[in-house]
Amino acid sequence: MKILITLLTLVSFICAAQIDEFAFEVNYLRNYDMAIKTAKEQNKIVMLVVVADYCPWCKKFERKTLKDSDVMVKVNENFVSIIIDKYKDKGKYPEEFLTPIIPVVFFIEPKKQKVLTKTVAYMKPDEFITNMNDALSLHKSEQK
Amino acid sequence: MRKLLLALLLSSSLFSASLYTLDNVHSLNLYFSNQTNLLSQDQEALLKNMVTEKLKKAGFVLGETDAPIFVVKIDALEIEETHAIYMEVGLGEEVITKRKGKIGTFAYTYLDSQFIEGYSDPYKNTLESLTLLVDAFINAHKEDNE
Repeated sequence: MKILITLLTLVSFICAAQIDEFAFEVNYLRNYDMAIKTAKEQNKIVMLVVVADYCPWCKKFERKTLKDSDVMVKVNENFVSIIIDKYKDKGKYPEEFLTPIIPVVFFIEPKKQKVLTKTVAYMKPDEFITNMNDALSLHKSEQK
Repeated sequence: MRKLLLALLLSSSLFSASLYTLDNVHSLNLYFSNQTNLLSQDQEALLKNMVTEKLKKAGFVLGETDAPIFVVKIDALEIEETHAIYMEVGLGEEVITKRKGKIGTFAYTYLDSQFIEGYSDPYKNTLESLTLLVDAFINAHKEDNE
């Protein structure tokens, strides 16, 4: 029993480390409240990425899309980005973002915490950039 | 309507690529295993030739040392009174895991399979399914390397 608990603890530690490691590499936050606060201060949109450690499409989305150099530049210039694990981080973010389909990316206006738009499932870098541009346009038109 | 659009969006994403990452796979070693007695030696050779030609045409270099292994496995299964052919196409290679000590292991980095249940012509049915599986691999590789 002790071995089982140790193993489970070790596995959950390794999984948490992977999302933390990814967040560090691409400069994403891991705290929802901190992301909202920073976005308000910088007048930017929050880009909330919801993934799970068991989801291979999420891993591919991270590797192929979120780590793409053009995507990384666009994200860091225009958004306050945050990545959360759907289950491991449960309770640390509003329940409305607990969606059945992952990976999902919410673009959130920070003052009202209103979802401007979202992308669902894996998409290639160029498709994702188009969606980011849509979110930016929506944000601009809402500010007018 | 929203759910339908969501489902369509999701399915289009899922069908456009494979969940595996096939970046920088340029050379392969073919491992072909037929564990059934439903195919003659000539038919087996024809299937192997079809796979080889398709991979070469897609730009893969075959036979290099230490290249990932392209596995084709054909097996016969009997589930209660149903006979079926099980086919598997995979890419096996040495990988470094994220485990403590960065342990290396042999792992499948691509895997796809098909069952043919109640086959009429084992060779024809196997050829059709294997063609689909190899094409799916080639398309996934092409998408990842665009």
